[in-house]
Amino acid sequence: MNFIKVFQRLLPIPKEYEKVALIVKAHWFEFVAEIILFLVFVAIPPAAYYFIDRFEPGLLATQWLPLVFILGGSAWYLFALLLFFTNFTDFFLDVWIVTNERVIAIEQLGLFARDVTQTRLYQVQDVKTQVRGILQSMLGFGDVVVETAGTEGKMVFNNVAGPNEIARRIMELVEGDRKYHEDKIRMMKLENQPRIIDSGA
Amino acid sequence: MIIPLWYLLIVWGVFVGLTVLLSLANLFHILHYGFWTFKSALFSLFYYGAVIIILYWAWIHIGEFDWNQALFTIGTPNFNIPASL
Repeated sequence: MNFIKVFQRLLPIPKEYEKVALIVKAHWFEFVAEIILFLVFVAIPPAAYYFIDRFEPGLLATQWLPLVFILGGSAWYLFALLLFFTNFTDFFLDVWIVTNERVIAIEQLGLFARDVTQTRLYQVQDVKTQVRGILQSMLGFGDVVVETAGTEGKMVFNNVAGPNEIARRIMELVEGDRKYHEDKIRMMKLENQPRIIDSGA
Repeated sequence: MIIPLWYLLIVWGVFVGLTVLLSLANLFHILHYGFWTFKSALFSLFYYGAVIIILYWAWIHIGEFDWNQALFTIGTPNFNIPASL
């Protein structure tokens, strides 16, 4: 993944001191449903041919059916492949990036829509994980919910691998960021305090 | 009016063109947003390889048909009235 491009295209104003701490993508299991759908699409023309051959073999001898199979079949497979490719792009371009400054959710929605949501680490109030069901428990993936004080309310990392580890890392970054801001405020307060200069008189 | 069979080829060609165009949009997104990795390259290779194989297969079989024959006829039907009438 080319992070410079990711930042340039999706977040035009990266901070100078900003460093990427985590890059999270959805677990491969999320794509299994798309693979099954593709395999069903692939199996339909041979199944149709099989049933015609079994129950109406006379149809195969007609002039038009081979034509239907060639034009219709190729169009069907092209459509199935395009759907598969689009689903792959949709799956592959969904990414959550955690830096030492903010949490960014980039979600591809179909071919021509994309959502980019970001929240500052100091706005994060709580991070929780949700692992539900036998598959999520066995394969070790689940949701990470980042609750924020912003208008969005919460940010959900859907079906990511190792949700507990990710939540722990985010909390570490949040604590680090909070400490940095508290120190900064303390320093500013100290600078603004009136100085007592003892003249010695 | 006779509608020849090759009219179907135009419809098919438009559909193929559209799918290729949309797939290029997919590829553009992957490249544009910096997600060109081994996985995405492999998947793209699989997709375009499969598309080429399908189109090649279709192209070979398309040549077996007589595309000038009529698909259907629009207008007054041509009845052959028996001479005895």
